[in-house]
Amino acid sequence: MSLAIETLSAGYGATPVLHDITLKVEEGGICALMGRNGSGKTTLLRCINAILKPKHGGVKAFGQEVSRLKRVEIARLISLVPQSSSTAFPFTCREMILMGAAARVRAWSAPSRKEVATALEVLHEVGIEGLANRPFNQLSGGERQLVMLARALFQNTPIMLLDEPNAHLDFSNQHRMMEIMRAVVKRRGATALISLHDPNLTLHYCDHVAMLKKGRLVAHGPTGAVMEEKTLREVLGENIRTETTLGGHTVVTPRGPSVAVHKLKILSRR
Amino acid sequence: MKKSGVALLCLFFAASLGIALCAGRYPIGIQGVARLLFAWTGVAPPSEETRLIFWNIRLPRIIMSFVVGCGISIAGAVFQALFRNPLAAPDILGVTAGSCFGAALAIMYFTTAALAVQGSAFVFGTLAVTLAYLLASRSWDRSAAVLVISGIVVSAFFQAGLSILMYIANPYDQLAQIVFWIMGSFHTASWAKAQTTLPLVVAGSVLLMIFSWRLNVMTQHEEDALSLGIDIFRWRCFYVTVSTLIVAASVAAVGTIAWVGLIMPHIARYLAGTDHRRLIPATAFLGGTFLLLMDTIARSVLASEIPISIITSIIGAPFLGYLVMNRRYLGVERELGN
Amino acid sequence: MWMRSVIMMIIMLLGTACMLTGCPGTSDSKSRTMVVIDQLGRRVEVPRELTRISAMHHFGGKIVYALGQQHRLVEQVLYGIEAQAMARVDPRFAALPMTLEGHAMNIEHLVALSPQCVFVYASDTSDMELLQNAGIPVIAVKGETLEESFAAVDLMARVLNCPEKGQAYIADCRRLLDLVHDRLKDIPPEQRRRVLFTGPKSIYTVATGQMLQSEILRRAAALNVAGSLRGNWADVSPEQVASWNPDVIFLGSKLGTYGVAEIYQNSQFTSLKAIRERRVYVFPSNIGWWDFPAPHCALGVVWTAKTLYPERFKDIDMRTVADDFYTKYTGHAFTAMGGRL
Repeated sequence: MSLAIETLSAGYGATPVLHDITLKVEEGGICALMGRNGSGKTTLLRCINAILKPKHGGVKAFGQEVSRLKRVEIARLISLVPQSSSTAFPFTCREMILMGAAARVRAWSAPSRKEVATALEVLHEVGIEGLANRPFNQLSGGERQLVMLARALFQNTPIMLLDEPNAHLDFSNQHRMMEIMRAVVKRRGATALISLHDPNLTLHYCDHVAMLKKGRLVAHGPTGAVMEEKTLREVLGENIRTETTLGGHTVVTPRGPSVAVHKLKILSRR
Repeated sequence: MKKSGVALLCLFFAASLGIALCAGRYPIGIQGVARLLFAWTGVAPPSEETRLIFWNIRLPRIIMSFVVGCGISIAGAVFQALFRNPLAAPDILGVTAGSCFGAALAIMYFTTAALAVQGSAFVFGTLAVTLAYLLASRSWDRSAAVLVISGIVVSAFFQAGLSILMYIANPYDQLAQIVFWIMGSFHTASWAKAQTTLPLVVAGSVLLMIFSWRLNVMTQHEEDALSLGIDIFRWRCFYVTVSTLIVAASVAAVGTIAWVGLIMPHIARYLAGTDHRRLIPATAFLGGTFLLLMDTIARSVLASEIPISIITSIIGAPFLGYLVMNRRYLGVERELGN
Repeated sequence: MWMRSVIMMIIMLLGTACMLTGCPGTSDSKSRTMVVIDQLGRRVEVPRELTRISAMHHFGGKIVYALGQQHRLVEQVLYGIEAQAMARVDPRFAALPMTLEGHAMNIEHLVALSPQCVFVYASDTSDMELLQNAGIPVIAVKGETLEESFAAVDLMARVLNCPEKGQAYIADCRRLLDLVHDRLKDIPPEQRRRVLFTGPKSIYTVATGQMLQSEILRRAAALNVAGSLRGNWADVSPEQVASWNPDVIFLGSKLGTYGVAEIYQNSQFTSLKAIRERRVYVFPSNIGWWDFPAPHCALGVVWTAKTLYPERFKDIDMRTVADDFYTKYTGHAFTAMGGRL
């Protein structure tokens, strides 16, 4: 059991956001975190990382209570790819990624040459080695996301948290990121918890899914079992339905005929 | 760092040092300087008087201006990193305002002790930053912005205190002395002063150079830095403390030197890049050499001393204007107001 | 509408207030006045019989005392250490009000004392404007050189209707200056002592060639090593001082931040001739500067001459000279006021 969240309740100031969440994430594998905007996904990720202190309950990573660990120890277990990022100074991408070694490097030294070489390998793994010397702030939102992903990979932790990593990515990059995640998870035996909006990505790439509605855990389990139309409609909204393609894959689409199909139907009526 | 950058920097230093050693109101030619420096080999010095002037007046001043330049430049770079603001200066938390107040207090009431002014300035400078920290810790928001606001509040408080002291001071001697002290100058540099100032400044600078890589991570957003494994609150305290000690010691010894802590990190960033592992030493070297050159101009060009803040402002302000217009070097390309 | 009547009432109130404050009240009877040209060339009309006067800056105040007219003063015109010394011996002075607060004059307080005329130093233009706007005649005086200060004494003596007292004071000052001049006139230029005159700000602030201190030194057959500098109190580096290498150093302040002892211990001055020969002196005095623009500085000239060339002034006892002078021109002896040399 790599991650165990027990009766977690958290919020900001007087506003409660999460209510009594109990969730266990198995070691190895990608777990998707789904829910509408404001359902508490980011808050949950912050609690896991011990950035936000929960009001009740706690989080255990590999059996250790996260709130009792030192910051450095947490960073060796859990890494986070944030939703968006920028920096006040013109660091190059290579320098940004090297920061991932902060938990490994002694306070009075800097990353060694070996670390620098490993960082380049990670850039290669994510497919952005061309960006190595470009200033981070000059990149597009999607490119920055990939750099952040590379940094988390460089941090090399058994648990990875990703907060809406697809937000700025183009279509093919969205899939590429999920493929990279899947490959990394399999290769390193890591555990990933990704908050996603697109149920199709969840169906395609994730082993498990946890669904949040208004701060409560409504459903969780293997993707195939949980992602059925009734649950999806309850959590993600009424305008959803699932279809099964000819190849046997489940696809989630909005309710009502698409514009293209509608026009086809009109044409065919003539 | 580019090889050309390193060579340029070394050349700059060598030239500045050479000029500083030979220039001064008391004429000592290049030969005289050489004979003085190599006196230990048995070469006869020019004269006892020249020897005294060189060793007691010129050399301590050169060393102090270089080391103080290093110190406040590094402090400037560290503060810019900590507060994620390319326009941060070392006095952002109130150390300068506190030091000026402490010095004014000593000039008014405790002038009998020799080290009173220097000691009082140092104590109040560090007190000001401590107060800013205590004030910020009362807030539930633990971000760096709150610390900056506390610094502004504390600065304003000590500025008001300074204004009161200046108001009740005797205009013919006390007030003139206070204003003179605030303007900053290296002409009181002596070995005694170097002994009280340099250990702190050098130790602090070395410490900051050793822990320089960590500053890269400190420039990230709080949550990102925490995720990467840095306890930013503890480390911020560490960096602020060491930088404040450096700046307080410098200001206590020679008064306020304007602009150097703000400008030098930018020039160094242009030469050495943003990685603090390289930036911090580059800033130190550049800042020290720059201040050495500025002080040489201040004490040699005219018969009367030019206040050094005037020279650094004349050169610093237009350069900062150039940097602002050419925003590339401030690194705020895409994000607006971040 | 009530709004209109409110506005009318406010306008009426404002108008009444304007009229009341603008009212000059009953004006002084200026039946007999005279016109004088002050040292800035301004024509000023003042009453012939002046019973209430004041002076700004140390300069005018000292001359009022020198002319024996201090009974006409409405406020304290001496400041700082001089005021403290005078207050010790003169209860009448101590009882006078003081309108100088911090660095600024409280104009309302001064107007309330209704002086008929105020003597202001020529460079204090803001004070002059303030007083003129309050309707008080202002006479500008200055004394950057000794001759100028004698002219000021003349002018003030005429205004205060005691020209013979003015003449006596000037004559006494000139007598002292001539005494010094006679005894030193045969010293050739190369044997004149080279002196550095440092100021109250710090040991590195020196009197320039344009200041009164230079003239004092010149009249005492001394040379100001910083004579080539211009302006008011220049800051120099220790190397410059070493380059000049003065024979004697005068300290222009008694503040503890630097005193004779500190100078001797300062490592930056070990090469100086003045340090090696222990010829560093604090310029007098502790109850009022003798290098300040005022004809009093004739005392400073005498002291300088005696300090630099003691062998030629063996018969002159400085304390006696000072006591004499102060008794005649301030009303109290120098030592009685706490003066020490």
